Amino acid sequence: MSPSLAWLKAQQSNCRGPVILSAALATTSGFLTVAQAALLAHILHGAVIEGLGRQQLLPSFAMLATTLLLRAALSWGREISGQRASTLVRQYVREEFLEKLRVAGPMAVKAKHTAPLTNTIIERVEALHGYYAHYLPQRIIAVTVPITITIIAFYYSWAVGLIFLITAPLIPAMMIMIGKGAENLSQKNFQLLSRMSAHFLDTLQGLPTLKLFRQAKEEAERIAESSEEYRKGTMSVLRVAFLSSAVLELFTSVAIAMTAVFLGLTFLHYLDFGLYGKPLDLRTGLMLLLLAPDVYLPLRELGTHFHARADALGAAEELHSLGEDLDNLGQGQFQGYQKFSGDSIALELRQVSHHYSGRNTPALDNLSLTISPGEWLAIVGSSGAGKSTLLNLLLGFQPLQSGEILINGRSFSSFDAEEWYRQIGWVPQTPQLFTGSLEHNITLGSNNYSQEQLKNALTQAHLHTDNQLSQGLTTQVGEQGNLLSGGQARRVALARAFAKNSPLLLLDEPTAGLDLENERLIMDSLKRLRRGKTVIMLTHRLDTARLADRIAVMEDGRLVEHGSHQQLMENKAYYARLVSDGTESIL
Amino acid sequence: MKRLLPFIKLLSPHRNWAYLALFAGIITLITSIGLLAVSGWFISAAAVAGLSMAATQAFNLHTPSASIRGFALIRTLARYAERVVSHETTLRLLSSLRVWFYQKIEPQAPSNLYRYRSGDLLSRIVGDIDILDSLFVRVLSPTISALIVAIVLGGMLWWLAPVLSLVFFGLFLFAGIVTPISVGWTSRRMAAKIQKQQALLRSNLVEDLSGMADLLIYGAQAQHTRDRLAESDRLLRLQEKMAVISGASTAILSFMGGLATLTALYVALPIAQSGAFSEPVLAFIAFGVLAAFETLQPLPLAYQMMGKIMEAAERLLQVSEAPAAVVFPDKPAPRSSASTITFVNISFTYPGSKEAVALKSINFTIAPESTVALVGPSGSGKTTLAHLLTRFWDPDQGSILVGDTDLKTLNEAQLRSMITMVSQKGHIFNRTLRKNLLIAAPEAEEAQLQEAIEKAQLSHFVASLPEGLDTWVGEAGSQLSGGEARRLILARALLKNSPVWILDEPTEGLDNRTRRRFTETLFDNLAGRTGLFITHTPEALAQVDRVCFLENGQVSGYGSHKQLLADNPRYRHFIGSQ
Repeated sequence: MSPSLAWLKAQQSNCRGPVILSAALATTSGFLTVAQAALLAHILHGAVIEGLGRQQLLPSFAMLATTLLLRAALSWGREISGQRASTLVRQYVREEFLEKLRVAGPMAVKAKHTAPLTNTIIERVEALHGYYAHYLPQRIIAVTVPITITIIAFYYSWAVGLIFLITAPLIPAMMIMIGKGAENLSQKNFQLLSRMSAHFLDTLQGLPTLKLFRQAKEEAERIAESSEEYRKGTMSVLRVAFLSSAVLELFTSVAIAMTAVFLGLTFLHYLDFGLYGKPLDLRTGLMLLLLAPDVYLPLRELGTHFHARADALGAAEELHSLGEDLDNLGQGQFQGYQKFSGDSIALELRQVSHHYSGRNTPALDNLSLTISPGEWLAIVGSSGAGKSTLLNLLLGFQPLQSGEILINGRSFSSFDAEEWYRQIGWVPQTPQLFTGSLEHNITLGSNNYSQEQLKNALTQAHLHTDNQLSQGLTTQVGEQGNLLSGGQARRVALARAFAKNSPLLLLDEPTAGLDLENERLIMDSLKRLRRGKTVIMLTHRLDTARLADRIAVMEDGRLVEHGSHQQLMENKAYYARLVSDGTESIL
Repeated sequence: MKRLLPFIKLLSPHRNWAYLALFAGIITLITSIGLLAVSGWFISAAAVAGLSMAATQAFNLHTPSASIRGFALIRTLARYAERVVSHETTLRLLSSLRVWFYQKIEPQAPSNLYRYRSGDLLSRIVGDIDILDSLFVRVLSPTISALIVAIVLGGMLWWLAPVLSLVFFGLFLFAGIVTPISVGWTSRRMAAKIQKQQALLRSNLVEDLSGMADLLIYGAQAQHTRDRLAESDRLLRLQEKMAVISGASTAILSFMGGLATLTALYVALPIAQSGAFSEPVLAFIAFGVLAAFETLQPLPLAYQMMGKIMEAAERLLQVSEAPAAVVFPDKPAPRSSASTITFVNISFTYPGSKEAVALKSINFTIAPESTVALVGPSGSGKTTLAHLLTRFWDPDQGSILVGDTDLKTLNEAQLRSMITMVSQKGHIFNRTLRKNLLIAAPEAEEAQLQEAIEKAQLSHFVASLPEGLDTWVGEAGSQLSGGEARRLILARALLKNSPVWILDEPTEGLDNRTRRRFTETLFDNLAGRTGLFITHTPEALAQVDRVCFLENGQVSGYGSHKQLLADNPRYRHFIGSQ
């Protein structure tokens, strides 16, 4: 069994009840089909053979109407419980994947990219629907109903029973055959069509480029040519694939024809076998004829649900492999449950190294660094020097490969993740904002803050004087905060940190890419926010770095020098060279 | 419905295929009904005849049993033919749809198309075209065949007894039109809600995933996850409500089939017994009506599809009917040899944009064979200005002069052969390296291709590939590294060999080392050309002849890089903050 199929089957445990209910309702409806056939046959028999009038047959008409109503109700119920089955599975899978993502952490999300992940969790999970709602129940029905009808046929006539049995030679074997055909069909058809769409999309995306190269007009011919090619390819696949359903069609037709001819010849006394020696009456004859198509109907319907199965298999493949990837990425940085004591934080890194797979040079190379409680440390260096890796290690977003990180003298991994995050205030370069009010973006949904705290945070982060945010905490920030500028977004992150008031502050490029005004506001806030806190600030701007107590200069994953701005200038080494470059930045 | 006409017209070149598919479909349905109805009549008549010896011998056995076997066989063949031919029709329609759409959109490109390129809009357009291809196979064909079959059977019933025909048509129309339309009306509102809920879940999930670090550190991850699950749950509940509606529609349809059979039988009974037709015909009527209702089965789906098709058609027409933003003269302008480019008092606002003007009174000159860098914060109008030079748009005021010729008097061929654009956004097609290069010069010979990849410093890479220039580059060049992709775009530009180059942040997103080396190659090839270079990287700024510093759509500094650093504090700050 393929891993995707195994994955699909593993999810069945979440929806067994509704699937069985759906199948049971449909099977009951199958029995009612027999009743319906019998009643219709009874009415016709009465009218044709016994010459009964409408009045005498009225009870049968009434019973037939009741049966029809019941069948309709059952089919309705079947649809609803099938949907229920799919609901249960989809909700469970979403829950499972959100949990996996949480464990795997932000770096894994970044590696897998937000857009495809969202697609998987929404669209691909939706694609599971048909398999659980329709295919699974139908697979049960495709066995129960034909067998029931065949048994009933055998009860009245072994000859008709035999026709059903022979024309449906071993139902499972037939199912496999249709299965293969339908699967091939839908997969190949789908593949070809999606390749064709991809090609067309590629052309449309490249239209500006084609235009600039004066090739746009010629491309129309190429589109026609490639469509033709795809058509020919697809049709040669389909012509073969459709044969399997034609075979099934033939079985149905032949069964009906054989049953009719057998019954007719028996009535006319040309044949005299297959009825256990009893005489045949029209009632039995018509009922058997009516039942013939119903032997095959569930199988044919199963065929129409095969594309749902193919869709689900495709989705399962993606979900299964994503699940495995996430399990591998999620290392579980924090194993311990230690609680924090004290209200200040000291950090020590001992010989920390980090290698990314597929890179020749290490991102961090034997880095040792001590940060005292209440110290403001700036880490400077060009991009690729290892600053971000260091930050991600401190946040536990990346596993520690070698070396040691100590917090207040205790091993980093002995803490509980939530406990560690409680100690951190974070201001990243591009903070994520969420659709909703400014208040929601500061609290992020937590109820732990009083209105006073929030208003204070707003004031401290210079958000209260901003004309564009005149509605204060209730200002709407737009989808992903798109109504705010980069500087405003960073001030919102500052307000978060003010409200949280935690002992460690991590700042990632707090002033990069800002205009003078925003930079001034942010630096002013930072000076007040940092009081009594340990601060680690990544920056590549020297005029920002010089505000720190101490500056650590990194290059190629190593710490090349550290000290105060004054000391480093006197050293006349790496840092001093950067400053004398003339621009205010290390580019 | 009128909006569908352009698409139905596209079907007309393939109408013979469509007729053939329809014909095969109708034959399938008629033989299906015939098989059951004739069988029913046959055994009833046989049962009656079997009661007396004389009638048994007089019974014409041959015709009914032959037609039963015939129906069985023809039904199978017709079904197969119908499936093959209708897919053939669909694929041919799809091909026409694509070419039609491409030819409509090509003259408006790139200006109108430009805003679609980054987003999902383009893939939605492609999806819309794929939806429209089912117009025939899912909507037109089943509706028309159901109608024709109903007319055939209705005609037979009319011949037996007109009242039967009326009963049949009444119920058939109710089941085939009234039910699906009323169900469709209810479910459309539900479908809109579902779509909205799914969009909400999607956008919130995107935010949560890209903001996972923020949420974890601020202890809000668990709450947000619960919120997303609640939204997913709401989505699933709406879908369950939808299933209640669609389940009801299926149930009603199957009930109507039985009801019609029962009613027809009830009405026909006294008529038969009064001697208008023989009693075994009752079986023909009952079985025939029962089978005829099966033809309605695909209709609810067809109506559902119809809604989607109408929406898709509307969107495609909106895109394809937009007027072109720029019109080129047919005749070429007399060329002046000097290639000084002068922006004279340029102002521009994006059509339909509510925001402030994109460019205000821009004046500056690019001397022949020199390079001017356009520098400025994002949104300052750099790319807009470059696009005016390629005439993706025309300025609202002012003009662009090449020598002393107005840019607008050049025809499209002249303009395109004069200017090349090298940018990070240059599209790499999912074809071979060679085909990507040949877009620039379809007639280029091997030696020219080799020269271009040599100059772009790509020859080493190409030589390392087992299939050389015939290597597939993958979707958007995914098989290439960032640096290789830029070099491919550069090689393409070199093949075109035009005198003016626009470089729109061609090194954006490359790591430092790759960026430096690529910039070096760029300047090697810029020698002897006129360049407009959008950039803020130090190694590029160090080599350009002049810098034009844009802020808020206005020129706020012009001079050499060194000079601006010394004299313009805002420029210095901007460079420092990058």
